[in-house]
Amino acid sequence: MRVKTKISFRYSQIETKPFPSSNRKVTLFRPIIPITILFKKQFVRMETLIDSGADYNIFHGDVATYLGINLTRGSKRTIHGIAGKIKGYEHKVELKIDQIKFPSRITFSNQLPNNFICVLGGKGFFDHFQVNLDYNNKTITLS
Amino acid sequence: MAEAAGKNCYNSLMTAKNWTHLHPQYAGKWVALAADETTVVGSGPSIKIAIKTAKKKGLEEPILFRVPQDMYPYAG
Repeated sequence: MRVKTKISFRYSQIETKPFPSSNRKVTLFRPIIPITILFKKQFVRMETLIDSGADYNIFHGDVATYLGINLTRGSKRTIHGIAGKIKGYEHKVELKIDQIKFPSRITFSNQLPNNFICVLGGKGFFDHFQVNLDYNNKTITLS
Repeated sequence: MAEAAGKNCYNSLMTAKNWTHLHPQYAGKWVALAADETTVVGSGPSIKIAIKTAKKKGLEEPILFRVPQDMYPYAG
């Protein structure tokens, strides 16, 4: 499914340290957008990172618990990343972005590191939208 | 052609959402944000508690975000 609308969002501005003991702050911008996850009659609105390097939508297991999803009843997935691999479970959900609602899948995991931000990846997000990340103008456009 | 623009969408020249206040104050916590995606209306160690505190302030459908424990440059 491809959408026929065009919707825009703003980047998020954060401050980080270049390394843990540094006193210096570095300003960074990340493409984080609000979405709604729907499962049966439950829903939750979440800020999520658009990650073109991620193969799946990956979320904290806490989100599955809140939605009433039985985590381990999903399809098993092993996700490899820069810091190793984690186990997760894929579930069918619906996503709503602005006024656009579509069926999708999310891999939930309780093994994600503390600094992990829920991501929208290839299967279940990029296969629905043409995504334009305009870092210089701090805008994200989905069409 | 642009057709839709909901409450979290913007069509004019935009600036980034300023989230510099989230860390370290809410490090490792779930925060509930107002519709402007910047104002914190609730927080807690779980989604349920963050939403509950937001509802006490009159916001029924906040936007949730888990603030990373450590905020360092990142590659997924």
